[in-house]
Amino acid sequence: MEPTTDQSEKQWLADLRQGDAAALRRIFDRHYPLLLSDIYRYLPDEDTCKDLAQEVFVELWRKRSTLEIHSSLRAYLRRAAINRALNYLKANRRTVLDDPAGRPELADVLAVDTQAESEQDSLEAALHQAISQLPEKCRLVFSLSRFEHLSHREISTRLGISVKTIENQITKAMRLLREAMIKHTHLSPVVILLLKWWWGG
Amino acid sequence: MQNFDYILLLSKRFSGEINASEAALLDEWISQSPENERLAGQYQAIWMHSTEQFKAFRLDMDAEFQQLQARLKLTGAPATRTVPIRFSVFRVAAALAFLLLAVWAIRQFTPTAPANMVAEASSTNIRTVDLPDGSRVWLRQNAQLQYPQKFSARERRVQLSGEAYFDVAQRDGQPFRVEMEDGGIAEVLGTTFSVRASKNDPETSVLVCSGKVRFHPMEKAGAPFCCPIKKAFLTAKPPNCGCWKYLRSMN
Repeated sequence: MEPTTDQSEKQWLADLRQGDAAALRRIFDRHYPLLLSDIYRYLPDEDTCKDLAQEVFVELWRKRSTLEIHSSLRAYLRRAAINRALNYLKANRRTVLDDPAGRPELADVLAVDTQAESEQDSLEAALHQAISQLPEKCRLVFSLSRFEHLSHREISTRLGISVKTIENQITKAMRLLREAMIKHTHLSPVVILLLKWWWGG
Repeated sequence: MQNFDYILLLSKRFSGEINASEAALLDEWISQSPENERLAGQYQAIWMHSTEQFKAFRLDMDAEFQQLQARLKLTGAPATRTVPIRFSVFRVAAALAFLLLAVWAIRQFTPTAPANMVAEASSTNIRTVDLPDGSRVWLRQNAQLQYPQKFSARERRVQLSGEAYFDVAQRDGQPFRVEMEDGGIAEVLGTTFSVRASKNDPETSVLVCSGKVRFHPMEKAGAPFCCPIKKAFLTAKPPNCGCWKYLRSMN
């Protein structure tokens, strides 16, 4: 689902550059909820998400006249949001990253949401749930590599954690996901079929 | 093969970070058994089918946007519509004003003789100066360099007092000349050299690190060349005096 800047968004951006607050509102309406979700993946705290996502729009407005977006608006905003999330994580890594008891794990929050989805019996849904149940740090590092396409070294620099730790966490995530998928195959006959097909088992 | 972490190498391959030797190692491991191949396939499926999680928030968008507007006001960038210049009269006036300003600026900043720039190093630090031709100069403590904003087409001439290390951009037909306080001139035919000329120090020295420098105590032609790591005039300094550039710039 790679979003592209469609014609209306181009117009919004042109209006935004002229200082049109209505254009800011339209962009805000479309992208704010998405940015919240982007940040929530790494910082499962609603207030922090809102704070950081709003800052992205403050920046967008402040830079409007010199704005240069080479990718899509969605990709641009998402990158800005993730950058803010990473900076926040790095600045607060003692409380967020190093203290597993300090914050409720996203897994707890999402467990209920994803139960309904897992009944769809698709490989994606099963994995989706498995990812949400990874330990916090593990899920964070895995997602940064898988979904934000950051290299291990980049993740290490951005979070201020050693490359070795990053590699350990990604390895752990992959191993846990495979274990979860194997468990899942005991539960769902459709997934077993899919896995047999995909995994050549 | 006991301590070899194939899961990490697989992850690196999926995220495009694997290097050639790791790839060879991984391929060897995969080809060792059908079980290994199956494991690799499973991990690939996990990677490929992982999808991002989207959380739906219950939001009051009006309230959220109001919050944003409050923030914009706080940071001094209120989200109010700026009125664009609509009247062509204004546009013409703006264009004329701009033109006048540009003419004034051109007259102001391009005098017939190019203005001289002065760079001076403090008593504690080395200072780097980038010259308009791309040459770079490291001024030693208390050294002063005068150079034109734009070099003439025939030569590049700078005035130095104190000690400096030069890394000169090579340009045929546009020699680089360093004028010293005592009237001596160093003419660069190569790339890097160090010049020392100071009122307090009766001796002027040129240290050539690479290339050639023609050095004459007073301006006159036909003086001998200096070749790498040779001094024209020996001073009490050891012949590695160019090194302070590196030592100090690391501080």
